[in-house]
Amino acid sequence: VDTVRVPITDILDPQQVWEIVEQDRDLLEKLIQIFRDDAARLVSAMGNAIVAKDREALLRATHSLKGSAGTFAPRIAVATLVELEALARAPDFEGARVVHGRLGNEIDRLVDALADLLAAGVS
Amino acid sequence: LKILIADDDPVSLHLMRSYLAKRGFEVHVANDGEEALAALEAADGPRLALLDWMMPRLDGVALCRKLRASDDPVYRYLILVTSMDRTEHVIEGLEAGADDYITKPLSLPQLGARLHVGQRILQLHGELLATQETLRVQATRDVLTGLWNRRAIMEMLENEIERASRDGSPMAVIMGDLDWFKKINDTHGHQGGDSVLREAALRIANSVRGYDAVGRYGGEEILIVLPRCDKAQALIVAERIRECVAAGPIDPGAADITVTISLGVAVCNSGGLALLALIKAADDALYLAKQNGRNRVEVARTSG
Repeated sequence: VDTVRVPITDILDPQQVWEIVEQDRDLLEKLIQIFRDDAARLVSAMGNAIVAKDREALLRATHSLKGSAGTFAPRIAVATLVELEALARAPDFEGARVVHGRLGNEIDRLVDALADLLAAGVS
Repeated sequence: LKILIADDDPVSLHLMRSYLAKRGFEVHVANDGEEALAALEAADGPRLALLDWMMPRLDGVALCRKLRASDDPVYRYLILVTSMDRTEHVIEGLEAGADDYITKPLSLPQLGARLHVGQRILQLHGELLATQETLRVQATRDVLTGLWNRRAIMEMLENEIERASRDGSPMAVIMGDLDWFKKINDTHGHQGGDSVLREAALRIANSVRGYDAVGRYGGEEILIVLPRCDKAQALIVAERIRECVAAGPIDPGAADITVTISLGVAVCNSGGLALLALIKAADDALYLAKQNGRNRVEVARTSG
């Protein structure tokens, strides 16, 4: 199946990301690696929390991912996480399940965009 | 400068760590609030800290409260770095004792600027402590000799009498007076006299036990407070002081001067003597030492 790769600029601001890492390619590579591992762990923890209807665990994981995703892409993934945080606070586990379902894809797109940015190098 | 980062978000943690290390900070990392508290309370621990709000075991706000409730005089500059970005969160964080509050996503240049503020505050605090220490020394030490001044030694004596009275243990005081000091001043001038006093004070301070207190009572009069000390021990100390002061010439500039000291010892066996009575007893014994030829030790007849 062909997937349409979303343009990087729809997900993050390349110039802003390079500024954050002070044009340090090695640092960006390390941060992407850390983010990929941590995000996978947190998305999984959120899923478990939703199933267990554990409000605190869901809030904690959402909050944590909001912090790390926000480092790279304050616009896209964070908006979803803010929505999920509000649902956790309510708590609305059914609504959270729906939003969580699309969160995994958004995180994947963010990781892909970061990998493309790294491959393209500092502009 | 040491800085502590306590953040369970590994991306922010790695980013801040890299940014700060590039700017010469010695970065310490804590994985949760309890670990951060232990690092900050450690002797010589970091005094600048970046704390996440949500952390396992102890959150950043509770950590700020704990540190501010402590009576440790060392000031720590605490910055909360968090995604909790509502106004009520900022207020709660600052009211808990944080010095500053930064919201994520992080702006590293802003973090750098705020750390400069923290460094300025810590420097000012360091200067304040140094000034306090200078004032404390000036208020308790004799400028010329470096011994305790009269007020400080009298306070120590009062405390020691109270303690001896509670414990029922003996204590002693020794009043010493340099012999023929006026003649030294007349012959060698006040500068010569000052040098003699300084050197004699040093010799006396080196002759007593580590827990005895030596103070300048008046012009050339020295008062020594000896805790948990009976008559026999006090006599040994007094005799050692006498020998030490007379041991060799004191050289204020060109001229060699030999100086001696007369000493009066008074012992308080069970807190039975009031402060003034004890001083008077030591003073009377000192007078006797002068009468009996100087450069000698006499013991007061009355003991409490």
